[in-house]
Amino acid sequence: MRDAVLKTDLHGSFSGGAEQQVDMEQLRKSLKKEQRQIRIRKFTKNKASVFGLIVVCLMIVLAVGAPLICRYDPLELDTVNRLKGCSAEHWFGTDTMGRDVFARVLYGARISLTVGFSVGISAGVLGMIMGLYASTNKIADNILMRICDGLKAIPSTLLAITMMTVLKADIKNVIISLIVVNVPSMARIARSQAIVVKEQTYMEAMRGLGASRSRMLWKHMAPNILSPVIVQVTFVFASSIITEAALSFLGAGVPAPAPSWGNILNEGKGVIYSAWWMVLFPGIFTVLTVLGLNLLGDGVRDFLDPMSS
Amino acid sequence: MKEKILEVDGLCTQFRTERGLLKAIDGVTFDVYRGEMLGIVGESGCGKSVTSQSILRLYDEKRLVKYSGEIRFEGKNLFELPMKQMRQIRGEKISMVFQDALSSLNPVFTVGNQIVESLRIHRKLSRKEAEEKAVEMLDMVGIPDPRRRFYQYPFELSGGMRQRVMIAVALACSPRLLIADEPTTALDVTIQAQIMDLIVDMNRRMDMGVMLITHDLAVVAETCSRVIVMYLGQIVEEGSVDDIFDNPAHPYTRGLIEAVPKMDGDRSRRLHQIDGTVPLLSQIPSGCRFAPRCPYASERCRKEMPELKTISATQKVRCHCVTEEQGKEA
Repeated sequence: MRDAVLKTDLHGSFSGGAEQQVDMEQLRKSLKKEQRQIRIRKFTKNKASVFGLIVVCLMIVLAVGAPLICRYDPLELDTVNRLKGCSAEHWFGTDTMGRDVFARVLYGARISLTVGFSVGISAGVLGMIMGLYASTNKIADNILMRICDGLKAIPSTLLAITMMTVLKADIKNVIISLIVVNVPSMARIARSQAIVVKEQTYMEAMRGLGASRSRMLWKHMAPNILSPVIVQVTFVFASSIITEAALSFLGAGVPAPAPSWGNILNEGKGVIYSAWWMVLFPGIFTVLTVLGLNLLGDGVRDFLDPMSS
Repeated sequence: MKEKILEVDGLCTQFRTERGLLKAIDGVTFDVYRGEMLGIVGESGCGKSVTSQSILRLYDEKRLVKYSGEIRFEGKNLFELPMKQMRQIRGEKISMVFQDALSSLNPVFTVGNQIVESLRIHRKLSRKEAEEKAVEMLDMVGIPDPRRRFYQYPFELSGGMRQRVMIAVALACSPRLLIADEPTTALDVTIQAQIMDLIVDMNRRMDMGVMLITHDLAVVAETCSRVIVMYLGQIVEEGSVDDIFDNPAHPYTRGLIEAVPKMDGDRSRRLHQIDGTVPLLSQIPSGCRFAPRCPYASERCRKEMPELKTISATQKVRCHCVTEEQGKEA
């Protein structure tokens, strides 16, 4: 085989048969599979992150399948059955206006997960772009990082509340203000990682090969800073759920009739002594989701590291 | 003589530092011919690597460095080319192999993909064509089972394998000049020999010029046809391998050669060493740069900088003592 290749002209194109290409395709698949199995094994070894994954998946299933699971509309008023305790009819009881708490909590999961997911992904992408760009350009670096410093100087919940009072209270604006709150830490992480990667010999080697600036930035640097950013995304996902609940609780988030976990808690706080179920269940759901996401984040780190195989 | 592929003429590389401009390379002039192996030797900090990086203009010209002089390649002065054209030369016409292969390979790409990347920057190849070519390259640099290796990550390979991959990446576009910057320093002796054999083999087969930068004189003696000895950013001696090793003229070259441990002869003696250390760039002596460490230094050496003078058809040296002696004989 080797002699055959040595005889072919180096500048000429390779004239391998179709047989070899099939071989290559199969080899790629089997190796990819092997690597995936090793990573999955490593991930499953960490029982906590498996638990996190299960909890998060369960939440997603409940949120997506809410209309199928619940017998009640989360907004349907039933003034006769106000503040009824847990029963076969109303698993989590009913609230001050007779709405089914179970349905409200499940529909609330939709809002929380939507907010968490959009904020996590957008802040991750924006932060990465900012961080990468800042690492290559000194002026951009100064401007972007000073803005980040400024944003980080204000407590994040306070900043989000301020933004919500300026903007109209709806779910879109909750997402926007949470992105603004979370982008700075994301950009910081991406930037610090990018600065380390930039000085590596392999970036120099890429330059020596004639790669253009943008190719180096997006194709070679980006994957190298990806894994800490993705881990941070899972944490931002979790913290946005908490902040969204806090905003709604304070009346600065998703407006009232909508079944957000914060809203349910807020409505329940007045009747906490008589109707504990109104506070307990959304509380448990919030805690479980956030805990699950944080545990998952640790596992994702192990999963993403190519060295782990 | 074969055609010149690279002419370096009066290259000066100055670094901008807080204490002002520091001249790391001061008027280096040499040629590289097609198909030859040119060795560049010297102590650490003498400017070997800076020379090679300057040829590819790898330093940040806006902030870090100021170049002067000329580097002519294929009839063009590289310093006058816009960056876009410079990028087309890098990797395609002039390639570089770095010292530490592990840190020169991107850890998140498989080794095959790194070769594909080098091909796709310069050639309009489809993904499949590039992959086939990459497998071919891996095979050519002597990696067994290249199809399987293609999908492995750099950390899964041994040091020698990684250096082979680096060479495959550098040679993927069949460059006319390969700059090998201490390609074997991080490897053990057996692997070193294999890698050097590979470089020599590639040099012959592809008829490209190779600039071998090293501090290992044994490697140079075995593989190169011409040698340049550098000291503190200047060429102190240039000649064929025979000139340098059989008839070294400059006291520094002699010192370097004597400092190599010998397998035979008296082993009870201490190894020869060149006294003193390489001065800092900010404290360059005014006369001959080697004078403070030179056992033969005279008053003239300390005051007047010697020129690089031709002493035979193939040999040039920068030393008052040698040229004075020649003058007396003549």
